[in-house]
Amino acid sequence: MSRYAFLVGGGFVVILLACAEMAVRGGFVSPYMAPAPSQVALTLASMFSEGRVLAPLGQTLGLLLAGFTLACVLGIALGLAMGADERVYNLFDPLVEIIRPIPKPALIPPLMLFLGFGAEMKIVIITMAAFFPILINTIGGVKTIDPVVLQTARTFRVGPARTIFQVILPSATPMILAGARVALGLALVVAILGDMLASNGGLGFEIVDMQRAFMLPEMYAWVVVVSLLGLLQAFLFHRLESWLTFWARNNA
Amino acid sequence: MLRRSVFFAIILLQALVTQVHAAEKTALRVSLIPIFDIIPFQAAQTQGYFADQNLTLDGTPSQGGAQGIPALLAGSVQIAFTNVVSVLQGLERGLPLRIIAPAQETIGTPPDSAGLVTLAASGITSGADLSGKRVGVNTRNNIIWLYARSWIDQNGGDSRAVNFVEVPFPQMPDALLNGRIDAAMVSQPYLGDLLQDKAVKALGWPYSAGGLRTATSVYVVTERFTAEHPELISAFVAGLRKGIAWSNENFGSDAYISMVSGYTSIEPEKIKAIVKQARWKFPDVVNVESVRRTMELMIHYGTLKAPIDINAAIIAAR
Amino acid sequence: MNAQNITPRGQAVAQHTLISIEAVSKGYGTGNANLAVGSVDLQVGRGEFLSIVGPSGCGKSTLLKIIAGLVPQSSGTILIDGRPVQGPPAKLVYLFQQYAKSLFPWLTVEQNVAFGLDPTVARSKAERHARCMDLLGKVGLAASAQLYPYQLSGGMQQRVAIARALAADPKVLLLDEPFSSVDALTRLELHDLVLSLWESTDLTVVLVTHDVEEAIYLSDRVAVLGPRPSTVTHSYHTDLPRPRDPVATPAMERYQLLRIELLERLLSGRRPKP
Repeated sequence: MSRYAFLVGGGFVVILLACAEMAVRGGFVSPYMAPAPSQVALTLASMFSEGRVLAPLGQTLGLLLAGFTLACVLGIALGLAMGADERVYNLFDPLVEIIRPIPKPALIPPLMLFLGFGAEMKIVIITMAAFFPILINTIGGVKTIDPVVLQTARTFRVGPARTIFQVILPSATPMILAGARVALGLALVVAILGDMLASNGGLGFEIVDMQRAFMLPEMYAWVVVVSLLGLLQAFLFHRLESWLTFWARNNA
Repeated sequence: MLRRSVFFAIILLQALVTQVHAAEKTALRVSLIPIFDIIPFQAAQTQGYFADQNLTLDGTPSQGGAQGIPALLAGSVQIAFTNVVSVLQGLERGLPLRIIAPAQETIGTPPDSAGLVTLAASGITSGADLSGKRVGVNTRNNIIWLYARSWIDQNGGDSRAVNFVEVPFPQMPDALLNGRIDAAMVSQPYLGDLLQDKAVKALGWPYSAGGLRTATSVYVVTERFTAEHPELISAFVAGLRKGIAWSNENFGSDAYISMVSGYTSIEPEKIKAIVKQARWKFPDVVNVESVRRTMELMIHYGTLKAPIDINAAIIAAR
Repeated sequence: MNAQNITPRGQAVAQHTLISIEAVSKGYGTGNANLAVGSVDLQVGRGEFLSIVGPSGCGKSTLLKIIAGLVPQSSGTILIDGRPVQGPPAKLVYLFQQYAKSLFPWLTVEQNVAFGLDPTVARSKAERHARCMDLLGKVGLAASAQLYPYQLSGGMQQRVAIARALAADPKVLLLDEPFSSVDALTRLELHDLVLSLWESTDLTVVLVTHDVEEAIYLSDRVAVLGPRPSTVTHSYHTDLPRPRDPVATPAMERYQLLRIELLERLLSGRRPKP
């Protein structure tokens, strides 16, 4: 994004915050619904300086990364198999199509019955949420490989294992990463939701806890922390994606 | 000892005030938790006392006061049944809450309106045994949670080392029996329901320490509602008062049991057994002295900064 | 025209056939209803440079893919060195028309070439590097070893593909219209590159093209494939001296006559009658 464009957009956000500030101070918005942004900012600053952010952030992030990594491994593995082999695809596709459309937050209550409130439940639900976009995109990536690429591998008599790992996987990487990007966003949503419902720590837990105690500036401050986490996540993933698929943009 | 007889004033005033909207039926939404505390409300509903006042009340379930109060402030309900601790916290933060009627008061002796239970085979007998364990409460930061912490700290444990998990009351029996939580502070009748299971034992009675009766829950509205609809408040309170009287007079009758069974979804036989264990008498005034004791506990646990004058928040309908 | 059976190295074709194609047909749809290739008989001598020309859509690319083992034939046999083709045969590389898609964009030029190396032959890293650089040197791209395909022009990309093909140490190279999407001058450079590589090894080359002049310039023999369902209608020995020269050779009478003959064959039935 160009410097100028960023300033315009950023300035717009600042103006909106200023309006919110004035609305609260002027009594147009009930302070029980939303405290002034300045107050939220101060609370946020003190939370950071007192080191209160680290533990819940670490807990949520740890579970998020664990679930996401698991989803990547499983999703890419099954996706490669389903994309490459028609029989595997036919075997798993109906099951995938039944489970995939279910919004994964809807599965949290049943999972809580089986797995309780602990870390296992959270990792399972995060993995499930992240798994499907990665799977679908891996299958797509494999199926949309240009036949010329595959036939090149064939004319060089490349074995099946080498074809999968040295030809198919790199070729499908742009699509896989696109799916992973979506999956990461979903994983964050589900991780926070899991925190809220399973209540043993994490960012979502803090948000609910502060709401229960009617400590609204703190509650909004935690929401901002979640937002910052999401931004950081997206930024880092974008860098990773650029680094891994530098060739795709230029090749199109 | 200050006792404000809210209802004597209300009754007198009601007789004096002309109901302007008498002919019109007004519909109000009330946020409720399906526990024993709201028996008088349910009685007023089923016996038609609210209808007599030209009130139609629509009950909506909530998990706890910490949810009911935000719903009240957002306007999605007009009256909220909530616990005293949540009200005090809200008042301290400047929320415009007003108490219009009492709901429940503890008996002061076991079995009380809520208590701590655990599995008989768990080996948990003291507060110390709960360190690192999961204890279910309907919501955190409310009166259930507060008194549970107090019991744990007074019985050899450290409540800061306990993991308080939020579980709605109706789901607590299931959560405890399936091992998803290690103990729970449960409200009646779910408490009595659990105690009838041989696998469950009572762990402690946090409300009964000192044998004193404690006001645990009340009905609240917003300040604005009191300004705009004083007549509705009077109507509600009048109907509720009759419900309180009926509940106290017809305690344990078949009609009583079937009504409770209906809104809690617990079988009548179980309700009958619970009701036999203690004589429930619902209060008709808010026990302000007991609220002061609760405030001290809240200050001790850091959920309240300083005592507040609750009398200012209790209103008499005009 | 005089059909002498002379191959570049003075060996008779009949005794040293490398590729034997007999009654090969290819159809699509139920019962092979749509015959792309009707019935093709063709022999390719060891070390020969053969071009196949034909109108577009006549199935010449399909035929080449069948020889390469990438597409199964509907009927007929293909023998390479006496062995039937069942899938991509060893020591044979097929070069694609769309070289841009054939090169792997995530690998450097050198890595692409290295991909062609036979993995079963044990080579140290240094040996692999040396071999790749040697091959790149032969196609004139040694300086571009660390570049990525997208950084190269079309002609350079095709040269990388050729180097990669040579890395597999093939006996047979099949070229499917390899120069149709490069500009005229680059095409002339690539012609000479292919010829010099062919002359310095014992490769057998089969080239499919629609460009009659290219076919004449490069090959020992030009086979004409008729329209669908195609068969080999004619076969001409070019009988032109080697090494070929881009200026002198096309000026020769034999070249001109052959050119006219081939164009007549290809255009017959398509030209408006006067």
